[in-house]
Amino acid sequence: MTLALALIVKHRDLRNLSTLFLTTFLFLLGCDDEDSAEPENPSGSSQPAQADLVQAGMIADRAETGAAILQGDPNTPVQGNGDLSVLGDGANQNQQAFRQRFGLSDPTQEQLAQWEPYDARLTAYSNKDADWQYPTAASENWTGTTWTNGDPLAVEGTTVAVDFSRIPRGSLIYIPALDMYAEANDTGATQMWAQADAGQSDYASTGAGRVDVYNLAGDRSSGQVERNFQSRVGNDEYGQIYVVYRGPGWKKGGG
Amino acid sequence: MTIAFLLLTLCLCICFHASAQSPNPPAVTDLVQRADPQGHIEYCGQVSMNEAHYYLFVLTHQELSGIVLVQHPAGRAPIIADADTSIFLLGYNSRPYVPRPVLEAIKELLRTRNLKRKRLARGGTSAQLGEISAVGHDIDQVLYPVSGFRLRSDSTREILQLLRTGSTVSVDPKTAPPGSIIVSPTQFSYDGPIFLGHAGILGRDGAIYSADARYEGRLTKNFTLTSWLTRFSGTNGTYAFVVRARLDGSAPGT
Repeated sequence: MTLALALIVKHRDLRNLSTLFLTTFLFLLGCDDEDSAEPENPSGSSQPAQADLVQAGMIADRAETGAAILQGDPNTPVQGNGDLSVLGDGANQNQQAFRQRFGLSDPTQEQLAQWEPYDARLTAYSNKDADWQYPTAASENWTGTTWTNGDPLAVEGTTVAVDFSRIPRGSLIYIPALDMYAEANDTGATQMWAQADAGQSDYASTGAGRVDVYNLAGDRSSGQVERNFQSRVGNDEYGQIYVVYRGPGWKKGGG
Repeated sequence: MTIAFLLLTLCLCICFHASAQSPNPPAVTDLVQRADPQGHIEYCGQVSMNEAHYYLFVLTHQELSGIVLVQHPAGRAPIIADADTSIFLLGYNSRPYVPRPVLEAIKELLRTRNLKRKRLARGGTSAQLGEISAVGHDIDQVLYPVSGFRLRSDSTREILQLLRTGSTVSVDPKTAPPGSIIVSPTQFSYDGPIFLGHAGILGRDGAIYSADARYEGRLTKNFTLTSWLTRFSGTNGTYAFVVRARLDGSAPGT
């Protein structure tokens, strides 16, 4: 290239040389662009025809219809609809009070990325369950109270029972499928938790196992509570939860 | 020929072993976790063949899910043999070499894993039971009834290849029209990192609809075009295609 330019200089004036340099520079610049800037958009591709665009519009409409159930603000994580009334009459109010007291808000993508994700199997329990009378865990809940027998005073909308060997007692968790923060302050009867439940084995070391969400049954039977809960979380009860804080230390900052 | 086949079968019977129970060495888990530090990894089992061990992991990273296969030859360091939203391909030759018996055993391990997680409840087919991501399946559910075109693959790298070679028009992702199929193929190297890829459909409102691992792979409005480009373009690359309309304008099956 240098030799060629030297030969040309002998036969052209300076104006021509400037033009040549400029042309060469622009040519090389163009080459660089093609190599690195837009590999996603191969040059030479044809444009979609009008019929293609009409069909694409139909595809877009169908996608929107097909995903309608799970639609949400695409800039925020997809979550439950925030209505916890299925857990009992006071569940929504309790969740709001819980959030206000401890300064909790809908999680951002950044927060979710920092929290500890776990696979879990979401199940329901209620005060109408046959084993309700048995001692579970003697742990104060966020309202600071327990039953006289030492059981936690379960609060619909904020209480879940977990395997304490996987999620420490008093931990704060977040359940996206319900858009619910919960305190893990309850557990199953001693030595019973790790056993298979309804024919389903709990997760191994990679999961949180069963996360049992407390419901206040009200006028409902134990079976109705379970059916309502199944309907709320979907046929497939497996889902991801997040451990926001392991152990009860997160409550120190709250009211 | 028959004798050779029998010998080969005998050899496989002797040298081949698959198990969901075998423990995986810490070095293997470390390799996968280092490859995607923010991802959630789930060990699904081991396949052994001819002095080499293959360790199967499911990798979940927010909306994304995929498969990571680690190869650990005897006396050598483990390497990532393959990683993508699916490693079971239509065009078998286009991927890193993993022996077919190993792939079949892996598919069986995944089927077992998925059955335990009750994925049958979603009405998946037998073939899909061996898959982890529904990235292509969800697109096909929308695409095929309208265009008659379908991907039949849940691998992001194969989806890109199918769109490039199919009856489509490549468009600039930044200005792609609604209804475009957008794909960012999985990228990885043998010792990490792994950047799981994804594919979806661009909606009319700038949103993208794609399979979401947080919701059992269901089609979800989970990205905007801007957030997609921010997330994938630097690591995976992003490509967009408009599927050509059929000349006769008929619906599939007519």
